[in-house]
Amino acid sequence: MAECLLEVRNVNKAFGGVVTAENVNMTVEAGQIRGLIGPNGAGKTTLLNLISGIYDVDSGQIIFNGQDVTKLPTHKRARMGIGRTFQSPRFMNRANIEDNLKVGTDLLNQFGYIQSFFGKKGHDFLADLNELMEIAGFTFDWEDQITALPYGQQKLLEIVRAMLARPKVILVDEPAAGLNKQEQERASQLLFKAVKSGMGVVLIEHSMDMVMSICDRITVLSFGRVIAEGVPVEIANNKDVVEAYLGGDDDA
Amino acid sequence: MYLYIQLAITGVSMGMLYALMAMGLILIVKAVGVLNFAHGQLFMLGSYLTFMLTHQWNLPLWGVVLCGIVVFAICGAAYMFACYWPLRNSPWKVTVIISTLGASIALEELVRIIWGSNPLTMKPIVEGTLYIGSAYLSYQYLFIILIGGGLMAFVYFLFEKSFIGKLMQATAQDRYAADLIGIPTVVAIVATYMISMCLSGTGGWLAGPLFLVSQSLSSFAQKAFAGIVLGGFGSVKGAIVGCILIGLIESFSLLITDSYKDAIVFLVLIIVLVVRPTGIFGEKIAEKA
Amino acid sequence: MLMTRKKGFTLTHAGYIAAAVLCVLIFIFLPSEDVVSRYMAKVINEGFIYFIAVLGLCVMLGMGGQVTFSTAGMMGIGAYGTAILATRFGMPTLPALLISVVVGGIFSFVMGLALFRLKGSYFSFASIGFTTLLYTIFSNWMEVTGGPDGISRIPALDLGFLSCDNYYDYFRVYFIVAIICFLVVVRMRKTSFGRALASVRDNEIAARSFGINAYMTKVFSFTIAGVLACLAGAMYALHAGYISPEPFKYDQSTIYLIMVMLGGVDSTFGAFIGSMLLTILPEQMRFLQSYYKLVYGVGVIILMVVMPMGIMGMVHALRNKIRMIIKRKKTAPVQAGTEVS
Repeated sequence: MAECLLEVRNVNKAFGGVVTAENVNMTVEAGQIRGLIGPNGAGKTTLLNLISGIYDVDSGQIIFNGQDVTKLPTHKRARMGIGRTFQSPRFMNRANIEDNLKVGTDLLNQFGYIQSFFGKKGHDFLADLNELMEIAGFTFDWEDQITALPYGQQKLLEIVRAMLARPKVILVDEPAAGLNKQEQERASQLLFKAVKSGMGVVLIEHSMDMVMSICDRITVLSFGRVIAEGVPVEIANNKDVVEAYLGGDDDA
Repeated sequence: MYLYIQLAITGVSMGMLYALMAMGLILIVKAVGVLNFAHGQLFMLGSYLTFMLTHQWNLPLWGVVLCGIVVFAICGAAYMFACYWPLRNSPWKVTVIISTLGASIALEELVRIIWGSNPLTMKPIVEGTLYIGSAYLSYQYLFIILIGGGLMAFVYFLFEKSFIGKLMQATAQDRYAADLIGIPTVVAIVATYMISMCLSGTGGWLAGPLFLVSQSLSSFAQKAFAGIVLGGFGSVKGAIVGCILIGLIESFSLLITDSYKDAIVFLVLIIVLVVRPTGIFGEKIAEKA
Repeated sequence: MLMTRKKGFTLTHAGYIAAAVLCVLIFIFLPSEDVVSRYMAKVINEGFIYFIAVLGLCVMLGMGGQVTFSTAGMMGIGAYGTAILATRFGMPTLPALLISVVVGGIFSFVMGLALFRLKGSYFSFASIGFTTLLYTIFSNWMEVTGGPDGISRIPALDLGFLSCDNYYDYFRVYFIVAIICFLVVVRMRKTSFGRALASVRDNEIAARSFGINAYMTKVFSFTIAGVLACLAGAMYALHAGYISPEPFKYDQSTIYLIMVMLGGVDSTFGAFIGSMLLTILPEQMRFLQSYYKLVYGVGVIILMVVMPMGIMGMVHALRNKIRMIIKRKKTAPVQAGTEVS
């Protein structure tokens, strides 16, 4: 068994009275794609936010790379190697593509601001970028505003940006939503590439085709609780899961 | 002892003046999501307008009140259509902030052109002085507390209980959704600005007799800002309490120093923020991620 | 398909050379009585001073998206610090300036730590309080600041090799200081700090998930703005020879904000245009007399409606449009390395 990169242990989170995570357990290994599915409002994105530290957990632990990161702020977790993308792409809308991509490489270089000011050379990210853009299947002009790109390309570019930072684990939130078939395929290829270079992936996705075809293991959430966990075939045949999706009882 | 009573009452009534402004500010923040940096100028404008009604048009008190409400409502609507409406679709909130800064400069100058730059004296709405032992207090202060408290209750009922209040709340929460379900958002926003202007204008009317009617009245807004921050984020209740606290701090700092009372107010504010950045009533609100 | 960058001499490089030549020409020919009057030289010098302060806002507001009203207050610290050290302690002007800038920088760092515990508009509110607090101290602490009378007879700037006797000498010195500050800010935009600030501005949560310490980044931007404002304040005190609390009031901060918005908030050069325009324009608009400020206030509102990104914002938008047209004509993507500064 490969090493366990990320482990979520008995995590609880409630907003007011709304429980969005209840005793959630999940693991991600290096080179593994962990699918995270569930009906709307099941607490999938909340779980990603808990892992990356945007929300604090109420109780429980998040272990990353053998270290307890539960109390660390978001930016420290990111520097340790937790990368992520967002449901709708979050770029600097007033900056050009170059600056937007360099935010990813800044994370890889981890220079102080003063080193950067005096022009310290970082990793040559062009090689990485070219390799990734080959998979993503489009080119861009450095100087273009990020908003000039079509939506699908923005979403792909967000994955590319996260991967430029060479994280150990990458949290991907609905990469295929709003993408056409071809772009969805490109997104899958990008994730495969991530896995091949030894990253662990947590993938939230509503497109069952994509989840079933690329995930190694799947966790199913419903109302903040894990209702099933296993390889795709098991999940597809799990009664609880089908019920949760088709709108069964709350205690399904 | 009597001195403390006097300071407490002046403090609370000053706090009421700030709170009138702060309520208007928060209503605007809630309705359109941006701050109004010309609010002090609206307060000052209210003072000048009521001066015009009482001393230039020589209206009786009831006439001043009725005409005042109409004039304030018109000013509020005009202000909204000039400074907010053209920018409502701007992707960047800073543009609205800067336009209110422009409005503050323009309003101050407009008032100077119409009424001149000399401070004007306005006779108190309620004349006379109350003697409590060795301390004395003009009735105007008590009148401020009375009117201020009344208006606060009125705004509370308007927002919580009435139909227009529900419209305004819906608009404030999600303008797009409100638009979709057929709420005339423009009406709700205009109403918010009108009420906001009425509150500030009334504040100006109440402050005029005590502090002379002059352009420097607009600096009252800085205390209202301080009260809002002190009270906590975006809650009307917090802002009222924060403003009254600011008034009390200001009033009691007279025991130590006269010239540094502004400094003390803002020092206390900054210290409170360092200790408790969410303000007194603010709770840590989870950011929408 | 490979992404590369264009090397060698481009149009942009030619632009840089032209700008450098222009600067040298201005430096040599402008400061003389034949070209500009003494009075105009004074106004232009003030324009440079405001430009340096506005550069701080360029970092805070343009790059970081934080509306701050602290500029005038921080300028006051620089001005009073220099004036007090130079008059009451008889210190030479250059060390007085440097010490007050360093002390101001440390002060603004500490204040930044406190103020940025607040977010967005509430930070702006608190920065108003900050400026008012300083103004109250400037205008009341008679023994040190001279109260409303201020401090007069501040000695002229003496660099050792050059003592500034008239406005033309000041022009030469301030011109160079302004260029240095300008280049530092231009460079800052292209560093990881500039990108960190920009991403905090556009999406703080995304920024944090890219390893950016949003809080400290904002505090640093506040410190940089504070240092620039202190420097501007110190230069103001030495240039005018006299200071009073009035120019360091909250109202003045709004003017700096308007300067940066007029020039174009995303452009460093825009800050220069905005501050020069708003310094020189009042002198040219004397005919409006008492109506000037009214026109000015209404003008600001119209500016925000018509061109929210300011003058340089419009220039850039135009340039981008032309680039898109050119691009559509070519089949291969253009990879020119033009810099936005």
